[in-house]
Amino acid sequence: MFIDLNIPFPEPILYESQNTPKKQNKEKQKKQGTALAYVQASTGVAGPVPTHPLERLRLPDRKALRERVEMLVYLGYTIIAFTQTLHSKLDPSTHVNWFDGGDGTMFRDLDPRFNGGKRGVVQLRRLNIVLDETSEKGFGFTAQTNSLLLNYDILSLTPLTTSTFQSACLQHTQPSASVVHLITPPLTSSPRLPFYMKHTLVRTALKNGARFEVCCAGVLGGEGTRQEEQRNWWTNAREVVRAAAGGNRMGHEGVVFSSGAEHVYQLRAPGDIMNLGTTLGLAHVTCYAAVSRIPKSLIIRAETRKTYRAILSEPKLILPTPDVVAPAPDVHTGEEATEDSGSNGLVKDLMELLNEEDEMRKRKRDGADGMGGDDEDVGQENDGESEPERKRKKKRRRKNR
Amino acid sequence: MVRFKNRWLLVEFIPCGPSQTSQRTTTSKQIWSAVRDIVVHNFGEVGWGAVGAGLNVKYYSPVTNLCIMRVARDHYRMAWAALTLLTSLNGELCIPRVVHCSGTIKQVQIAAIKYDRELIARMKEKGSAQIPPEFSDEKLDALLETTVDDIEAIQD
Repeated sequence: MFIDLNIPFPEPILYESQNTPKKQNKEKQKKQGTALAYVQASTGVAGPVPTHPLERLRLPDRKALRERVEMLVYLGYTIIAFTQTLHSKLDPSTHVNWFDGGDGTMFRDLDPRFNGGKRGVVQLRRLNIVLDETSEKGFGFTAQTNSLLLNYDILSLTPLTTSTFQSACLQHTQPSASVVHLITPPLTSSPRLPFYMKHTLVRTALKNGARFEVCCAGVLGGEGTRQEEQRNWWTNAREVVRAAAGGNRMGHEGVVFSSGAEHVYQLRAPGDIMNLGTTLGLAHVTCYAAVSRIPKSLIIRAETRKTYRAILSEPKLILPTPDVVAPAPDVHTGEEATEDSGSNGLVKDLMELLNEEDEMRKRKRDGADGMGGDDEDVGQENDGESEPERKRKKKRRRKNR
Repeated sequence: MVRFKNRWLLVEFIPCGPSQTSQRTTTSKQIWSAVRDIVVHNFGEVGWGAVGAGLNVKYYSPVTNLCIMRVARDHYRMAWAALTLLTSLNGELCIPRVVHCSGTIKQVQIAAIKYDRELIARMKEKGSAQIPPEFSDEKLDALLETTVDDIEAIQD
C-alpha cells in the first residue's frame, strides 16, 4: 500500500452564482459586505454551477488531472489526496470548496470505494493553508468554520513565518474538530527555511500526532523552475528530515513523503521516492514507512476529527450473566449518532479498505517466498509473526546461505 | 581478493509526452549520456567518479521502454537517485521507474521477461479497445518473442 498525500487540484472556474445565497443574506444585514461580494463575483462566470467538481474545471485541466490519476494508478499507489491550497486565511463568507458535490471522491470509476473493488486509487480531499504575516492573528480555524472543514479529509498548514510555525506546531495540533495533521514546510522558496525548526516545537507536534511533509516535486523541476530551487530543496529537505526524523530518537518517523506534482512528469513511483529518501540520510525502513505506514495512520487519525473526541470505535459492555442481555449504553450512542451520522459510513469504508489491504499483503507474504530486496524489509518490519513462521523464515535464510 | 559486485537495475521509462511510439529513436548510448549528465549535475564530478566506472547500459527497447543497466554495488543508490531525478530523455518527457533491482544478471533477466509479458499484455488490452494498425495481435506476439530473445541474449 503506497500513499501520496499531495496532488494539487487545478483551480476551478469561479461561478457568479456560487456566492449568491450568502450575498442575499448579507444584503439585509449590511451593505459593505455586498459590495465586497459583488467585486469578487464579477470576476466569475455567469450561469448555473455544475454539481460535480470535475465539471467546474477547465477542459484541459480536467484531462490533465485524469492523466495524472491514471499514471498514479499505473505507478502503484493505492491512496491519494487532492489538495486545495488557500493563502493566508480561510474566509467563511467567500470560501468555495472545490470538491463539493463529489461524494468524497473525484473519479468514481477509478476509486475502489465506488467502482466495485476494481483497480484504482482511493481519492481523498485535503485543505492546505499557506500562512504568512497576515495570518498571524488567526486564519479562520474557529468553531464557525468547523462545518466547512468537515468536508475535507485532511487539513494541513504551510507556515512561512516563525510565529505561524509556532502556532501550527503548538495550538493547531491539539485534538479538536479542526486539528491539523500535516505541516508542509516550504522547501524551494529560499536557501534556508523561513523559520528554525526548534526541537521542542517539533517534538510537541509529533507527540500530538502531526507529521512533516516533504514534497518531491520541487527537486524534479518543471518548466519554470530555476536551478537554485532544486538546490534549496536539498538543503531544506535535509533540515526537515534532521529535525523531524533524524538521529537515534525513539520512533524517528516524523516525515511523510509525497509528490506535490502539478504535472504528470513530476510523479515518481513509490520505490523511487523511497530511494530518494535514502539520499537524504534516512534509513530504508523509515523511507518505506514514510510512503506507506505513516501516512496511513495519519489518514486514520485525521478521520477522528469527525468523531466525538477522537473516538473511533465504541466498546460495548457485555455482562457475563447468560440470560440477561446487556442493553447498549444509550446515552453515548445517542449523542454520537446525531453528531456524525453522515461521516460514519465513510470512516468505516476507508477503514475496511485499509484492513483488507493489510490482510492481502499478509496472505501474499505467507503464500509466496520473498520476491526481492524490498519485500524482505517488509518482513523484518513485522514483529508480530507467529513462532513456526519465524522458524520457517530462519530455515529459508539458512538455506539461502 | 573479493569479487567485484554489481547491481542490475531494470528501469522503465514511462513516456508522458504526446509523441508516437514508432517515432522514438533513443539508443542505449543516449541513456548512458543522459544518466551521466544528471549525475554530474546533481552529485558532481566526485559522484560521477564513483558511479561512472561501473555504469553500463546493457539493453534498451524503444518499443517497450524497458532498460537494463549495471551499476557498481557500492554506489547504486546514487545512480538510482540520479535516474529518479531524470525528467526527459532525448528531448521528451518521461518518468523513469526502477521496476526491479537485483545482484545477478539471471534474476534481472527473469524479472525483465516477466514485466515485458505484462507490458505487452497491457498493450493488447488497449489495442482491442481502439485497434490502431501498429498494435495488431500478431505483431505484438512477434514483438514479445523478439524482446524475450533479446533479453535472454544479454551477456555479463
